[in-house]
Amino acid sequence: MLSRFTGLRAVVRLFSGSARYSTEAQTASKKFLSPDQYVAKQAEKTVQNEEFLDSLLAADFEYKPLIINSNAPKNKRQEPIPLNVELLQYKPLRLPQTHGHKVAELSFKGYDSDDLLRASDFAARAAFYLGIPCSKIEVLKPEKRLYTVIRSPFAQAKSKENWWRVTHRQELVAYDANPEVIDLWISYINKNAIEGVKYEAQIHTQELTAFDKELSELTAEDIKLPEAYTHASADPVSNRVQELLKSDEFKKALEEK
Amino acid sequence: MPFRFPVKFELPKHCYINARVLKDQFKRLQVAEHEVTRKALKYIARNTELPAKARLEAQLQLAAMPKYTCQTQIRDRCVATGHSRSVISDFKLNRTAFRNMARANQIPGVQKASW
Repeated sequence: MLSRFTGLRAVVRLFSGSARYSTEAQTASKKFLSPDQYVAKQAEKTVQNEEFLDSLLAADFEYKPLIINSNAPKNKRQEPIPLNVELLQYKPLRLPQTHGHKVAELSFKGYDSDDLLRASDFAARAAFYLGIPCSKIEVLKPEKRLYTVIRSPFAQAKSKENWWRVTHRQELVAYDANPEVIDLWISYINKNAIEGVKYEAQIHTQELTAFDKELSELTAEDIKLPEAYTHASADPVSNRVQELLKSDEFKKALEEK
Repeated sequence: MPFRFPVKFELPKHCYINARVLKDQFKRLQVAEHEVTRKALKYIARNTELPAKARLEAQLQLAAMPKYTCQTQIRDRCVATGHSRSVISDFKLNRTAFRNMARANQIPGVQKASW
């Protein structure tokens, strides 16, 4: 089974404590810390991480693992940890490409890089378990939009303040999968989407090789565009034009010519 | 004091309200209501295949419509203070309101720039 996991790397990612998102921690990180304070803060962080890991196992859950390694690490209840749970600690696994045809490009945008990492990580894992060969999660250059405002509410326009909005970007490219599987993948990601992350998918489809023949066989009637404002249609402006032209004032103008 | 607008309308929600904001809100609602008619009249007035008289009639009707139905009368205003000047359109905020909120870390993703 493990031979299928080509991208296995021994990079363990630390779980971040939930306290990281609190406003208290944000304001504290802005000030400079003394060495003692820094050490204390790091110690607190590791404690929080451990608490978080413990809390994951604290709740009662059904233990019915499908696949267990013979030498699997054990949790605190001395049960062997299922493979998929263990794999959450590593970077997402990847399947080898069969043809290398690009099928879909998923892009993630957001102001918080942690949220973005969660989103793209989830997508990459989902792709692996659906059997979609994927690229690595590519971290693109963040988009920085500058805003320069006058510091003062009135006059003194020489003194300005610069702000920027940093939009972090990540990308994931899927290869070789069937369109149905890609649809399933994207709808699953959509169902479990994180707030604050913008998901965008670009899906590539393929044409038959006889496309140029079909194109040359097209007649003028096939390519004819619908005529604007002549027939009653779903377009409200078109309907209003018809209405107006039938009104008394316009009837007179149209009759006289 | 008599009611100042030609028709009654709903007050804008979730934003700062003063007389000028109300005026703008009234115009926005009226523009939305008359958008289809204006576009239809403009189409007739500019369609060279129609007789000149019909086109002139459309142009006259267009000119006879009140000014507050015209799109160009709408102006962006700050949702926090109602100011119309130096509004940053990305946030719908005036520069001072933007600065205050950005300093309070209340706008997602906005930080002090340094390069």
